[in-house]
Amino acid sequence: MESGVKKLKKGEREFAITAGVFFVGLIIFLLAGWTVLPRLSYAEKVQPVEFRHAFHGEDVGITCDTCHFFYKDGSWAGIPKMEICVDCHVYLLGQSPEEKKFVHEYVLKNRHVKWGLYFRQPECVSFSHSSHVRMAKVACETCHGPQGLSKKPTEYRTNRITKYSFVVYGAEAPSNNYGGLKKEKSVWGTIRMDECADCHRSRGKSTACFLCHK
Amino acid sequence: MKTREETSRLIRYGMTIDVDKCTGCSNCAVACHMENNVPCRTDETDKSRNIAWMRIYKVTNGAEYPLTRIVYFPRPCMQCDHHTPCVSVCPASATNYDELTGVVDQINTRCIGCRYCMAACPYMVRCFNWWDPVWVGDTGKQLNPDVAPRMRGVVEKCTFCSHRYSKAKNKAHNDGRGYLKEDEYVPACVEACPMGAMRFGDLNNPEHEVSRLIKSPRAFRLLEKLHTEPKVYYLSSSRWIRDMADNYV
Ligand code: HEC
Ligand code: HEC
Ligand code: HEC
Ligand code: HEC
Ligand code: HEC
Repeated sequence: MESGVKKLKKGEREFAITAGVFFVGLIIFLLAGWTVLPRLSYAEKVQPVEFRHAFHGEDVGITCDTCHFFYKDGSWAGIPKMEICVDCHVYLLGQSPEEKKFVHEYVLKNRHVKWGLYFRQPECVSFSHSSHVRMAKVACETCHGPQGLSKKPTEYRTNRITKYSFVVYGAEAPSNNYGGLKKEKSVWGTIRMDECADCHRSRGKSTACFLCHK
Repeated sequence: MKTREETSRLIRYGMTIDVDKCTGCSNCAVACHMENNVPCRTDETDKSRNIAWMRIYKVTNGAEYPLTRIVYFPRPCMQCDHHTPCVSVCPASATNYDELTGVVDQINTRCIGCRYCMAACPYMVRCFNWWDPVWVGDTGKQLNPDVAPRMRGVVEKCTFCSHRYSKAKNKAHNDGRGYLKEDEYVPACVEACPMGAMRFGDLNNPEHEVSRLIKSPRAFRLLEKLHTEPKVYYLSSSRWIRDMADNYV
C-alpha cells in the first residue's frame, strides 16, 4: 500500500500545485519579457525609397553639402527636398529598378518622399548643426556613425513609445551602443543626453541645461 | 573665488523697464504668451490658477483725486543672481542657474511638480500647470516650434526667451563667431514694447545700453532688501515709486 512517494496532505498538495503554476508562469513571462517584448516595443521600418549614400558619394561623386546644407541664417536643411534630387533625376539616369521607381512614383508625379528620421530628438531638445559643424568642426561621423556611407537601403527600428530609433549595421561598423542586440551587429541611433554631455564636458564646453533644452 | 577679470568677462543678461514710459498696454504679456506657447483658459479670471510668465501689476499711490498716480509694473522672472531662491529649493535640479550667462532656466521635462519653487519665489513668477494645455480653435496651429509646450503637473516660468539665445548663438556660430552682439538676442517682450520702455542686454558689458541704465539714480529693483540681486531693473524718476518697490509689490 505504501509507495515511495510520501503522501501529501490536502493543504500541502494545493500549495505545491499553486507554487508550481506560479513558477512555470514566472519563467514563461520572464522569457517573454526578455525575447518578445523588445521586439514588440521596436517597429522595424525601411525607407520608402532605397537611397544609398555610398553610391551617390563614391560613384556619382557629390559631397554631403550638396544635399545636407545650411541656409543663410544658419539653420539646417536636414534631409534634402525633392528639388535637389530633381537637379539630376529629371529623367532616368540608369537602369536600376530603384531609380525607376523613384522617378516614376515620385519625381514625375511631383510627390515628396516621406523619409523616416532616425536621429530625431524629442520635442524638448534644441540642437544646432552650425555650432558643431561650422564652429566646432565636428565630423558628421562622430555623431551619425556610418550613415553617410550607407551601402544598402536603410533599415531602422523605432521605439513605438519614445520614437527613439536606431539603424542596424554590420559588425564592422562603429556603434554608439544600444543595449540588447546581438554581438555580430552594431547599431547607431538617436544620440542620448549623456553622449552630448560627455563630449561637451571633455571639450570644456558649457553643459547648462537651457542650451540643449527648450 | 573668481578674480575680478574673470567675473567681468562673464555675461549677465538683464533687463531694464522704464515704468515712467510704460502705459500698461500689455503688449509684452501678449507677445510672451504667443512666443512661449503659454496656454490660456476659457476663464482667465482666477489668477491663482492661470498661467502668465509676464504679469502686469497696477499700483496706485493711494491718494485722493486729483493727486492719484498710477504706475504699471510689467513683471517677468527677475532672474535672481544671488542665492536664487527657486534653484536652491528644487529637489530635482529642474531649475538651474547658469554661471556663464546668469539665466535661470526651467527644464519642464525634469520637473516633478512639487511646487517648492513657487513657494520660494518672492516675486510669484512661477505658475503651475493644473491641467494639460488646451489649444482652443486654431491656436494649436500657431504654436512656436522653438518652445516645447508643457504638460500638466509641471511648473513653468519666464526663461528670458532662452530659445532666442540658442537661435542667435546658432546664427553667430554659422558666421564663425562665438559671441553675440547686443541686438541679436532680445526676448519677445522687449521686442514688442511699443514705448521702447524695455531694454535687454549684458549687464557686465559696458558697451550695452543696459549696463549704463542700471547705474543711473533712476534705477531700482523690486524687493531689493531680500538681496537676491534680481537682474530685472526698473527705472523711474518718481520718488514714491522707487520707495514703494521695496515694500508692496
Ligand atoms: C544625393 C543627396 C545626398 C548626399 C550627397 C548625402 N546625403 Fe545624407 N541623406 C540623403 C537622403 C535622401 C537621406 C534620407 C534617406 C536615408 O536616411 O538614407 C539622407 C539621410 C542622411 C542621414 C540620416 C538622417 C536621419 O535622421 O534620418 C545622415 C546622418 C546623412 N544623410 C549623412 C550624410 C553624410 C555624412 C553625407 C556625406 C558623406 C551625406 N549624407 C550625403 C541624401 C544625401
Ligand atoms: C548630382 C546628381 C544627383 C543628385 C543630386 C541625386 N542623384 Fe540619385 N543618382 C544620380 C546618378 C548619376 C545615379 C546613377 C544612375 C545609374 O547609373 O543607375 C543615381 C541613382 C539613384 C538611385 C538608384 C541607385 C540605386 O541604388 O540603385 C536612387 C534611388 C537615387 N539616385 C535617388 C536619389 C535621391 C532620393 C536624390 C535626392 C536626395 C538623388 N538621387 C539626388 C545622380 C544624382
Ligand atoms: C554633434 C553631433 C552632430 C554632428 C557633428 C552632425 N549631426 Fe546631424 N544631427 C545630429 C542630431 C542630434 C540630429 C537630430 C536633430 C533634431 O532632432 O533636431 C541630427 C539630424 C541630422 C539630419 C536629419 C535632420 C532633419 O531634421 O531632417 C541629417 C540629414 C543630418 N543630421 C546630417 C548631418 C550631416 C551631413 C553632418 C555633417 C556635416 C551632421 N549631421 C553632423 C547631430 C549631429
Ligand atoms: C549637451 C546637451 C544637453 C544638456 C546640457 C542637457 N541635456 Fe537633457 N537631454 C539632451 C538630449 C539630447 C536629450 C534627449 C535624448 C535622451 O533622452 O537621452 C535629453 C533629455 C532630457 C530629459 C528627458 C526628456 C524626455 O522627454 O525624454 C530630461 C528630463 C533632461 N534631458 C533634463 C536635463 C537637465 C535637468 C539638464 C541640466 C542639468 C540637461 N537635461 C542638460 C541634451 C542635453
Ligand atoms: C563630438 C562632440 C560633441 C557632441 C557629441 C555634442 N556636442 Fe554640442 N558642442 C560641441 C562643441 C565643441 C561645442 C562648442 C562650439 C563652440 O562654441 O565653439 C558645442 C556647442 C553646442 C551648443 C551651442 C552652445 C552655445 O554656446 O550656444 C549646443 C546647443 C549644443 N552643443 C548641443 C548639443 C546637443 C543637444 C548634443 C547631443 C544631441 C550635442 N551638443 C552633442 C561638441 C559636441
